[in-house]
Amino acid sequence: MEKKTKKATKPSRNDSESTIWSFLTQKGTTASFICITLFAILVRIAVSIHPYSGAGTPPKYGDYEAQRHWMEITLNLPVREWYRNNTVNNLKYWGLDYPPLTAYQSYIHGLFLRYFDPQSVELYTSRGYESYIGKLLMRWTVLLSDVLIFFPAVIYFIIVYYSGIHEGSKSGRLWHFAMILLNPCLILIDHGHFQYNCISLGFTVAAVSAILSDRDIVGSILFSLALNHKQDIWLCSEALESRNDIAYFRLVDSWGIVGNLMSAYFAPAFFGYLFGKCLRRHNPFLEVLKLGLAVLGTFTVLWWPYLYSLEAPFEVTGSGSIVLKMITNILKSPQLIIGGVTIVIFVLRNTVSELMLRLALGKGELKLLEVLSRLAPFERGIYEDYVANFWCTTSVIVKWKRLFSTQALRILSLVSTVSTCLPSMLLLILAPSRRNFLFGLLSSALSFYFFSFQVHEKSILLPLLPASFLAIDEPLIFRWLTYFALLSMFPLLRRDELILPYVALYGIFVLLYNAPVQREDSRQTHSPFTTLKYFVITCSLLLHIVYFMITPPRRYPFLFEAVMMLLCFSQFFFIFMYTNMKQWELLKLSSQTVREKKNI
Amino acid sequence: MSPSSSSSPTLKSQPQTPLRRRPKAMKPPKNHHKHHSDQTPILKLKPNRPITEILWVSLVATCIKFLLIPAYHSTDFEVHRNWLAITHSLPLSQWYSDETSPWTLDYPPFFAHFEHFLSFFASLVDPIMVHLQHGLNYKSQPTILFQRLTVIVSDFVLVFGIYRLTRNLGYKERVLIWVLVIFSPGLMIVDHLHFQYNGFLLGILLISLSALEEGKDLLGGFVFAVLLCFKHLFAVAAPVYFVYLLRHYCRGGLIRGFGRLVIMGSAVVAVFAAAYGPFLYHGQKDLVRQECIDIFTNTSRNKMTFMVLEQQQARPQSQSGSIPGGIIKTVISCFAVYSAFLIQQVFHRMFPFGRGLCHAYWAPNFWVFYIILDKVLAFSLVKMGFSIQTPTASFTGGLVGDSSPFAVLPRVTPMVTFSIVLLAIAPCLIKAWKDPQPRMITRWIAYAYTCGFMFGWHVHEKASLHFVIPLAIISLKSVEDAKHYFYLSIVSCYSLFPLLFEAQEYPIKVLLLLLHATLMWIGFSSHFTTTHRKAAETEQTKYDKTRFIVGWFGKLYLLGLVAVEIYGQFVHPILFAERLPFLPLMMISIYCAFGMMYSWIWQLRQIIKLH
Repeated sequence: MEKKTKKATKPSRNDSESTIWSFLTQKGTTASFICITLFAILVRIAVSIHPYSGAGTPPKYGDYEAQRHWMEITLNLPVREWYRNNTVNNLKYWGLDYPPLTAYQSYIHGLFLRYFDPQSVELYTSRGYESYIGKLLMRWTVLLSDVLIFFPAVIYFIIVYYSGIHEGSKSGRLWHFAMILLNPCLILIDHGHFQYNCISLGFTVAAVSAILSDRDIVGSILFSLALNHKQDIWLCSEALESRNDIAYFRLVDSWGIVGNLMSAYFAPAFFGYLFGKCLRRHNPFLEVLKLGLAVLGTFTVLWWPYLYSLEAPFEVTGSGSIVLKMITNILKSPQLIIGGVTIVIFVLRNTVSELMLRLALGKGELKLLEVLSRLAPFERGIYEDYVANFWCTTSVIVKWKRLFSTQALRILSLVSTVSTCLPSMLLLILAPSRRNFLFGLLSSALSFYFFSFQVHEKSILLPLLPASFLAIDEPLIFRWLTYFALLSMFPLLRRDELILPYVALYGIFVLLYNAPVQREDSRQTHSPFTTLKYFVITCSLLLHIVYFMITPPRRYPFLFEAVMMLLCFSQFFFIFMYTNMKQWELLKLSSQTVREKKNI
Repeated sequence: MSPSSSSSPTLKSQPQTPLRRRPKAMKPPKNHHKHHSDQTPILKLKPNRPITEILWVSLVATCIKFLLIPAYHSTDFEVHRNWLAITHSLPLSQWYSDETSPWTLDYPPFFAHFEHFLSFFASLVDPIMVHLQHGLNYKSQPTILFQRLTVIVSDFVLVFGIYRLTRNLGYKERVLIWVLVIFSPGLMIVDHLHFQYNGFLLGILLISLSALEEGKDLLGGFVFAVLLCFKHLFAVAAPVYFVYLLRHYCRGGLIRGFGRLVIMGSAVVAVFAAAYGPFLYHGQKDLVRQECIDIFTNTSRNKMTFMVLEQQQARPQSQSGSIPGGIIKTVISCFAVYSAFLIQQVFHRMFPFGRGLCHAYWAPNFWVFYIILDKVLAFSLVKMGFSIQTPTASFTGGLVGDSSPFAVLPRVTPMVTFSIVLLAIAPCLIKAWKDPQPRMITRWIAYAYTCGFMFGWHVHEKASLHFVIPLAIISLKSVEDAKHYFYLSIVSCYSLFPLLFEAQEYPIKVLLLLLHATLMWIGFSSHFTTTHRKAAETEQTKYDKTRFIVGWFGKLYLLGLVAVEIYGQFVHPILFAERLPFLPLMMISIYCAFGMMYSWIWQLRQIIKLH
């Protein structure tokens, strides 16, 4: 229904078609926005009645239980205990391993839950708590966060995007709005699988739109919020699990987390664009400083409870032997210093921060590895399950995990990440245009997805976001990425028993994408790749069916996953190459226009 | 960033066509991602082929319905599952007599055949589903999926009906009507959450209406007869059909008229014969077989046969002469009794006069006022010092003995409701008699269903769909119609809210209604500001104020609706906790009854006025 909204065609190119859907747009964009919003909420709610990850599977359940557990912890323990292991907060059981904003968010949601269903967040006894009303309330917390953060951010983005960057028809605008809001992957992961990606992605969207509308400081602050909400930090959490009794190690390593933040996927692009922009201002240094302070300020506020009590562990740390305590203290200070430095560097949005953090982590790691070898029988490797990234895909041929130590792999992944996102960042610094910025977001997110350490399939949401920004410019790229992102998440969603919403959302996406709407369409009819595209898409659909219906041969239990991964990787990689080339082209174009201006 | 950059030449597979924007033409080649095969044609065909557009709209709705599969479903789910089992495992003759489950088959034969047809596939999906005993209250995942899918798929009959009805309308009207019907929150709630097949049945009604509007009376009458054999509750409109067809189809002189009457009559009779004939036939065949066994074994398995046999035995002497003669006599009497019994059995199942005047949750109709008036009178009379006996019977229960559920007002019997309904339809019948016009038929039929809803016996709140959906078709004829439909559909949908009482579905139903209301508001207001010229050309220029405005009274009424809902959801639990659980429901009934009453009066006025 709201699709019709989108269908309303350009008033300027008035023909019989344009009247079909115009009844929705005539009333003004607001009304149609309301319709799409309502529809998007409806879809989310409808997805949320399906099972969540780890439903009814003790002892560890899944992401749902993790989030509920964090609510329980944050609600019942003082702030400083959140990241600390103690009798009631066993970090091995879904210890809080996300940055503070997540913890605050859990606290607020916990309050909501406690009001309606106190049992569900009771300390300790609520572990593995599952009930009809509990599920409902949890689902509603996700929905609320989505509606309160992601939705306004997307509206803001659409307003900004169409008031400067892109001349779009009303219907095209609505179509774009629906495309971003009804992204099937995000809905499936947040409202089906159960996560709060909408918050960090919402902040990212808001940051992008603020920066696009030249509110750089607001943008930086919003982006810092995004960074503080979510990261990809399995390695740290695992490491920490083994040293639980050492208070504040968690915190210290959390500094390191910064480099591994989920939204850090976008950091190079943000840095490149803002830096490039600052360089073109009158007083570059001052501009950079302003932004730096904004970011630092945000970080300080968010980390305040931990910064404030830095002294505490030196006096209070109860457990552990004296020797251990000493080692702790010694270890702590350099790490803290590096952490602080890291933040300052990060403020400048340099990917060097990534390097520093890795190094910082690496330093701790020497000690850490020892402890690990005794306490933790395993450490998560460079990839997990079947992710369509570089490491996992090439592992079919090269057994990375066997060839290198984790430490070496970590450095390897860092180097490759940096080197692959560097070109995009440089291009961005050289030609900081808004379009280029959006492409930069996409390519840096993709390079992180391919090469960083410990990626899971859900991380594809991050490249997908900038791709949806570009939906109207690069519909094919957007569509392609969505299809294969969906395919790459299919095994995960199947495990969660979310096939039904998967099919329905796939259908909704295809239908909406092809809504009978007129929009500026830069795609071309006669492409030599048409047949190839048909072939690839047929393969992907077949794979769905095969994966669903056929049990793989016993010798290769993960055969189909591997095939899916290969297919997805090849497609993602193609998109990655394309965006980089596109950026290159934009650079050439901008230098051309500069030359032309000069000539004039 | 700049438009120029967007049209720059690109690398790889993406050479762009700068400046030339031919949105439609370029689509086809790229649409290879047909996840559902039906979606491809949308892109391949020209965008303004109505069939593709309606398919598009309905497929989007289908996706939503898909998502709702695991949601709450009422006992109707088990009812329909049981019918699958009955029709699958029992011979035709026992379909209406089986009592394994309390949810006996109480729809007419065609619906039973429909279930029989579905049960073939059901047995492939999950054999236990169609097992008469083991299947009781069976709810495996495949069962739920299968049954939900049958509803979703059968909904395409509705899509076809609406397509037929609207294919001659302008784009805007067409699309708006599709949206109103296909995304109708009432249908979503009743069919895809609560679980029923209304979309399918209403689709048949719409096909019949579309035939009548096109002047294909024979087809219209035939399809309506078929519909009656699917669900008898649609029979309320039969008088209108009868009068209309008699006057519109059977005209043109005595002979021609009579000839057409015969044609129409035989078509309808053929349909009914096809529906009920097999039951009579099979019933008798069964009976004969059973009779023979009975005669020779002296046992009776069937209650009726036993009765007949007793009669036989009561006068053994006179019959003792010839055994064959006795058998024949027995068989003949059995035929008579048994056919009567069978028909009676079918009808007894279908018309539950044994139940009370109102359904457990009062449908918002006239009887709500009657009951309330009775209560108020009783209360005030008691206050004034009269002694009033408190009635022992309840409105919702059956009529037990002679006790009346009313303290003061006269008791209402099925006969009374029946005559009132006929009386209420009368103006419309007179109109149809005097001037049978195809363009009025939808309005008349909708009105007839409204009367049935307002004054009928044991009416379900779901019955309001019978007239809300057809009224959607004519909602764009004038501003007045649009306004009326706006209120009516909101009220009717709201009155369905109590069907879904669990927390999980609460946001779904609210959102469905909100979305519907928003779309309706946007659609109507844009339609009636821009196309007033068009609207002025229609027959009711007089009433055209050409702008769609929700008046202050309407706003007040809708606000009241919100207030009732807030009271029921939030204030009531705080005030009374668990006590008086029926009060919020009663308030919804009463409040919606006002809206329904208004709708009925408005429709009546409109029918009298228009010509």
